[in-house]
Amino acid sequence: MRPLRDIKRFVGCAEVHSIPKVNKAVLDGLMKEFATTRSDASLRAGRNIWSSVVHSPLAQATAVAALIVIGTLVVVSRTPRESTRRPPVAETLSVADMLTVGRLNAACRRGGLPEVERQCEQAAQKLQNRPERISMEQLIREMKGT
Amino acid sequence: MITLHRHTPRMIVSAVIALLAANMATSALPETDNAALLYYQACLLYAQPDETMGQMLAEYRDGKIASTETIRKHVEANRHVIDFVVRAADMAQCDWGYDYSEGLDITLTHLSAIKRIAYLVVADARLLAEQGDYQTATDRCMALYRMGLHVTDRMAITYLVGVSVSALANRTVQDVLVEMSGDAKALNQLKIQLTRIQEAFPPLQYAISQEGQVLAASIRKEKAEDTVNDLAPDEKGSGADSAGARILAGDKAFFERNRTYWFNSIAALVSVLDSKLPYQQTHAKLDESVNQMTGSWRGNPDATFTSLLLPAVSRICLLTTRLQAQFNALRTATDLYAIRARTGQLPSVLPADAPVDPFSGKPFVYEVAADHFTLRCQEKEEATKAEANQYEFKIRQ
Repeated sequence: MRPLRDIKRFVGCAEVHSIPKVNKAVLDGLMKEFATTRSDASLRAGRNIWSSVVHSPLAQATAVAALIVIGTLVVVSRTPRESTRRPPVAETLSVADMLTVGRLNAACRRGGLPEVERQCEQAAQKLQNRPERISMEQLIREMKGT
Repeated sequence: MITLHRHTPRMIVSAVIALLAANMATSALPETDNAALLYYQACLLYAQPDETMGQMLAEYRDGKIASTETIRKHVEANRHVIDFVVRAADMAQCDWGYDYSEGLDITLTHLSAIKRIAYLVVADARLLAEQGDYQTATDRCMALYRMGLHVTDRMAITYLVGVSVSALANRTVQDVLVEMSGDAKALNQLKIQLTRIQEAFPPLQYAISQEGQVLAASIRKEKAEDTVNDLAPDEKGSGADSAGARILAGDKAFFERNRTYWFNSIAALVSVLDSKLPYQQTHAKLDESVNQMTGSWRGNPDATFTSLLLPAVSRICLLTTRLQAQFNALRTATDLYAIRARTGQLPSVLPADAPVDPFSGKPFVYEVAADHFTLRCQEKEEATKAEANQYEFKIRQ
């Protein structure tokens, strides 16, 4: 029972993102494999200890669970997590940060002058989203506190 | 005595006018002699054109469409912006007010606006040339060149934008030339101006050594966190993380050794550029040096900063050489047009003193067709390019 407990604890603690479609595909494949294995194994029944282990429902359940965990972990490790995906520069940086020598040099190393221009344009677009202009009259009135 | 009396009122009036003029001259409001202040005002006044307008200006700039009423209205509506640029470009001094001690954190707020303003000036130059006023059109191009020179400043990135603005001016001159192709005097004058501008353009080694000085300000313990924040988000993979961790944990000696490595690397690159080798060899040597300097950082902690800060020197070298090729082609073309204006036909070979194609170090390949002539470089700028750069100049029959 210990391996089962270990697996249960492992599955309980693991931060996995399960994809039902992939799980079903893995499970279907496994059941098919087991069906084949069982028919082969029945021919050689009693020939070795391994066949008795395979026939054991507990061992089968353990193996299926282990394979599901491995399959899920493989899928998870290949799927980029939301938290680690790097958002585009324009989404995360302020205009001032986008236009520092450091950021522009980095843009230049990435894609030459076109990339520098693209970053400058993104910064300019952000600047266009400024609050509505305030009139001089309104400004004076606000300064007077009236 | 009678004569004196007769002239006295007139003399008094003249003296008063002279005094007033002198007083006005001394009490006139001071004008700025810093071109950057005028460029900044131009940047503030010029609203970013909407997508349709931007597209239209780009197509007009590339000669894909003829001028339209919309373009004319747009240029006229922004005449004051062009006036600011023309005034600024005439000034000798241009101090953008950068705080160089900030190193990587210097903010270049005006770069995108400068490029858009350059596009506006190009549109004006083209409209003027269309109307036959090629003199003012070339004046606008000269203003663009001088703006490019002002923009270059002391950093690789600003230098690159300066190169780009000057290349834009070159392409505009190339198209304006046909309008003045019958005026030998104006062509000779233009050739002199082009030569002066080309000679005034700072060499790449100057830009690289200045970049070395400016970015060294970021190789300091006090700046470590800012530097990592600036560079780490843009450097993908674990390499940059390791470099970032190394910078954050670095002691005083680490920063000192990195500064030494950085200055040595800059000196080595400047020495390659100073060697005046043919372009292909210079390019290959720059690539090799940069790879060596930046590639060794994992095993050599002293190279950590250099691996992060070194500009794309061979790429900038390519763009600078391309700019020189453009200049040389334009100067050759003004000579050819001038010969045609004087003799009625283009010469069969290039003049003996024609400047060479800097990619090969050899004269341009010169070909004449019915409605244009072509100057072609003898070597491709990059092996991956399909063909060598060539410059086409129209002929007006």
